[in-house]
Amino acid sequence: MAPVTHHTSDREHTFDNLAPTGHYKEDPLWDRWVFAMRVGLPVVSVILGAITLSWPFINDREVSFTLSREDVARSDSGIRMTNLRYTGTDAVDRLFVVEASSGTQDDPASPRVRLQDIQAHMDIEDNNQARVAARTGIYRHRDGTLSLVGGVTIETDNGYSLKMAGAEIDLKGHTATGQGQVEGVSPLGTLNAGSMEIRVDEREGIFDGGVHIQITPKRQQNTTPGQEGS
Amino acid sequence: FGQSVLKGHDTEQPIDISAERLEVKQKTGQAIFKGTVIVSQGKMTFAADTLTVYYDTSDGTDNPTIERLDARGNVKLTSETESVSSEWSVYDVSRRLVTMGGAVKLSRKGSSLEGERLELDLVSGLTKLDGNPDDDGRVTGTFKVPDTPND
Repeated sequence: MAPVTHHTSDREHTFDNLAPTGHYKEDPLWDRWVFAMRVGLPVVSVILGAITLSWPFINDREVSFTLSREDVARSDSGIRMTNLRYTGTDAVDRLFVVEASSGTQDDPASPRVRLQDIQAHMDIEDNNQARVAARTGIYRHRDGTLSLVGGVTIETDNGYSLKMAGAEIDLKGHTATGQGQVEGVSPLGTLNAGSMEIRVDEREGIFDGGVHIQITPKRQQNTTPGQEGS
Repeated sequence: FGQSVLKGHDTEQPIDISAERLEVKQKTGQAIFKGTVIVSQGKMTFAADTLTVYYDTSDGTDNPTIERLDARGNVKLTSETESVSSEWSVYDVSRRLVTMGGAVKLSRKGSSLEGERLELDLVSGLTKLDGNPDDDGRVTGTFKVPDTPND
């Protein structure tokens, strides 16, 4: 680039002074540096690429690990777990959930889990739900069934709320069979029985082994009850 | 012939039923009791082999409306003033009427009547007994002449 000539007026002169000026000092060192970089940098990047690609193979130490079943801490009663939660769906994709405060399993592959403080609920049709609770029980997650023992309560939104000693619950089929002083409320009235079976989908309840029920009929508004019968 | 104590019987007071087995079918609103069924409501009790209660629960939570109780087999209705036995009986709660049929035997204060069909009106307490149409509607009965005039 040619140097600036000085033949213009004062104003333009000051204006020109403000313009940037080139700095053209020759610098052999810089040229060599640039040349070295132009060659060196690509070479370095190629080497780095090769190393990263081949890293797992050139590295002999095995990084990953496997939890082999043998050396898991084997307490006498198998695997102990706390606040468990199993979810599953039935044949028509309605949800059921089984929760427990603690559980033990003989070994991870076994389909049965012994549970304590169990709460389970199943979704039935048209946002109707059935809830089950018990102190202890066994959950077979492969076929979705629960055997409950101790302080069993079964509640359905269509009018059942029953307590009993023990029960078998089919979470997929929505059926429950119970025995041992079954007592509580049914859509018809308060009852107690020796054993019971509820098929929630068919909305059928079967009570056996001696049944007693007290029905409290709804008072019709129009009729005036005669003189008190009882 | 005396007045039934069931006059003005309140048909909507609690009903106690015990039996060996009960099937509650909510879809059809039926509760079927089987095996030595005993029903008691106020001053009226009756027993039968099987009993079907027809009920209606609007949403399954509040009290059910009881429409009818059909009893079958060795039906026996007892109250303080009478006892009636028959093969079947229909207790229509809303119409407050008990109809019994099939070899009906009514006994009240020592006298007894036999016929084919009986209607006990729970409002008036009156009992109507019809004979068997094929033996020209005859009603047979024995009356015990009360030795002291009753009230």
